[in-house]
Amino acid sequence: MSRKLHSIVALFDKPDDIIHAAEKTVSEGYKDFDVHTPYPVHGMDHAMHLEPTKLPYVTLCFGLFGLSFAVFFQWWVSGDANTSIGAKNLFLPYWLERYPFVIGGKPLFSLPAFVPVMFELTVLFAALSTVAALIAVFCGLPANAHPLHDTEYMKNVSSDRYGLCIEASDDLFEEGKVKDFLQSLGGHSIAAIKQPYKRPPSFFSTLIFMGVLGGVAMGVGVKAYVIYNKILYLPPFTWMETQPKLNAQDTNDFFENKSTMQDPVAGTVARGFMPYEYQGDIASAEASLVNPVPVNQETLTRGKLMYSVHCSACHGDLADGQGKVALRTQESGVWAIPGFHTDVLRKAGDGYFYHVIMDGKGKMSSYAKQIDEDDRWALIHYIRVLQRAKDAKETDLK
Amino acid sequence: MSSKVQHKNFKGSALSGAMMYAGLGLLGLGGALTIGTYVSDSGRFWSHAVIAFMFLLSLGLGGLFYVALEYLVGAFWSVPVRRINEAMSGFLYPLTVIGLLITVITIFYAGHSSPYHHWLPAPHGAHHGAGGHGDKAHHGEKKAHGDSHAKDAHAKTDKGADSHAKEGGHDDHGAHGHDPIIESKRWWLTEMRFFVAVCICFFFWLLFRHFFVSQSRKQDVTGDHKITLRSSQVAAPFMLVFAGTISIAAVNWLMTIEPHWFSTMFGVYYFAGTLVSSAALLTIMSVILREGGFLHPKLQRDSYYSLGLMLFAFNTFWAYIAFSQFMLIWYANLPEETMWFVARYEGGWMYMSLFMILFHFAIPFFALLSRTQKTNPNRLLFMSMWLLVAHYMDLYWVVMPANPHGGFGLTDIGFVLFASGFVLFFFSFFAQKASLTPEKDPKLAHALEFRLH
Repeated sequence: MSRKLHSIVALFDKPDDIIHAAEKTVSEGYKDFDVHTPYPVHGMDHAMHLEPTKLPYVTLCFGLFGLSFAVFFQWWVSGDANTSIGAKNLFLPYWLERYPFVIGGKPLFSLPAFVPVMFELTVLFAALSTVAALIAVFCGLPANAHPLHDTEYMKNVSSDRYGLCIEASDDLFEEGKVKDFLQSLGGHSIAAIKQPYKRPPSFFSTLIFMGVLGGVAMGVGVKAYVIYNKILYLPPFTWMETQPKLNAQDTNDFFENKSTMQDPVAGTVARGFMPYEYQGDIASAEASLVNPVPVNQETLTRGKLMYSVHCSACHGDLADGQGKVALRTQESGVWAIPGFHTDVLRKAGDGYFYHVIMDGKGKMSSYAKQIDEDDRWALIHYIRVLQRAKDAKETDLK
Repeated sequence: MSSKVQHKNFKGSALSGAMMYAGLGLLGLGGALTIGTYVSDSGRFWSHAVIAFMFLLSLGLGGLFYVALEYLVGAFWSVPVRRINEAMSGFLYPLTVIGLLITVITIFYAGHSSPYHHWLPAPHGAHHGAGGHGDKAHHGEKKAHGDSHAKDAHAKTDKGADSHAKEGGHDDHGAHGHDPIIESKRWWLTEMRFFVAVCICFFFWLLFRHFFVSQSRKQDVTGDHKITLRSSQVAAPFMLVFAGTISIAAVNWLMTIEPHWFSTMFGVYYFAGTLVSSAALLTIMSVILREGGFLHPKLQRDSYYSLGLMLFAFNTFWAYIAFSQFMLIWYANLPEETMWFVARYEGGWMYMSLFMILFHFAIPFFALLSRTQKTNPNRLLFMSMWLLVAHYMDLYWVVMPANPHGGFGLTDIGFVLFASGFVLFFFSFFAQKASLTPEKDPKLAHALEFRLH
């Protein structure tokens, strides 16, 4: 069986010759032809009447896709299920939960914070799609060989000659005519290139090739894992990995529940985390708690600091219930914030205030986490100072 | 000029004459308008004088930067249009006069109508001479005029109530020492240091401008290849000096208008605007001169691609820098940094800020995206004009929100006319000083062979 003809090729010696030859080939009406040069020759696109490449459109489309994908993805990830801006109505399974994290006090949907990711994804999608389109679409991925490969012609045009190749698929192709035409252009080393015996690889053989590549990649991965995690740790080279001790999460036959890590004894209290025993019981707190902190310059200064940090915003600097928050709540009539200059509170014991700090009262939440034990009592001393300042007695002047 | 090169001589041509006369006319008209409106609103006059000056400085410095950049990186495509950059850098001579005038008057004499009045001493302190005015004089003056401060503050509140509100309640009486932020910046913000820094900047710019251009013209006569080499060696230290001086220029003339503001990116921001606007003027002049037949006849339209690419790239760079500055400040949310953007995020300025995103970035980005667009002379001309306008508006957006008086009037139109007249007149003037093609530059032959395909 004779091999099918692929093309007729000719070599030229000068760049001007090849440009001239390309122009002539176009004017002769040939369409399926190509030019091979060792380096880009200026003016060749024009001489060959090549259309501008369509590749930039792929880049543009995928760039815009990356941009919109980044916007959508960040909107969805940071969406709040309780607001309309979140992806609430997408009916997604639980493992596709969003992450509505407030970062830096910004709104969940913060476009300026998204812009860097939008930029990165635009570039990423544009770049990868350009390379993929170039290889897959414009170079025809399954074909990994070409009849011109491994010919004398290719050797010449990749070193110092300029080649013209008219392919047999052209409508006007006639072997004799083409040879004469190339001769008339001044080409030399005119040769007929035959199709190789083997067909160009089919899509499935390419798939098998890719499969082999994937297999090699997996093999390398497994090899690396075995060497670096198993073989290198064979005894006696244990690298102190195995030691005669029990790890917290290991099983252990010594205890009944087979666990190395044991629960602490019932009633154990962590250091600095004394539970509050009068939870929800203000009367007993007032009756039994006594202020252990002495009254002196130092504790009052400390109490004043604690008061201005934690209390004054609502209760006011002078404990008159006229703090900034109180003014706002009065304006909107939501709720009232009390001052401390009432008979009830003047007569209330220190334990009463302590209980409110620990347990909260009405809209006020617990401040147990914010204020330390000694500071709570110092703070109560300072409240007494404020109360006394507004309710000075005659005897104070003596 | 050698006889074998068949191109028209710009010097004495109808185009150069038309540019000079049109430039002179616009200069006269703009000057008359601005000076006419000076009486009614001197504050706006000086604010806009700074805008127009900084705009023209962008073009002059950009021209000088591109000349040095070509030497530094050994670029060849720009050699046939280098004389255009050199002519643009000639702007620096008249700008030195204008800049020193503006600086001296706004710093030492303009009082409250100076855009820098937030950190300058109160106006009565400004009437002494420029000489012998160090830190000591400063302190003495503080004591001597301390009692008249209250009266002064009163007069000011009437005039600039809006600006007070915008400054976030800062007391902006400058040298009286009430403002801890301004006091902490006093190591830089004194009239004398401002003035001296400005003089140093102009000194270096003129020095390097003179060196590059005179050497380049010398090469036209001698054809000495060593001149190109020597210029490349000088271009490297120039870049370091340029980075410092353009930052000083941006900080001194633009940032100190709102002295409470902190931003470490402002110098780069102005630099990015400089690159865009000067690339735009370079493109306009290249297209006009090449299509008019004044450049080297072998210069192909393929070279437009490089100009378009530079416009596109530097405009994207501007957007990158502008956004980086905004995003860092927005994220950190520190009052002394956000105040500048808050002022531009309120009222009418918000519309302008949003408009600038479209006008200065999005539309030019897509209008210059493809190669076809970058090589089309009409598109290039249009987009270059567009970007020049965008840079002018950018500077307006930087300077004007600090000006308490709103509105848009004859002053603004006058300065725009003045700036365009300046560009036309002085470009034509400096372009006629030498041949528009550096005939004996060793890279010229290579440059003329530049092709896209």
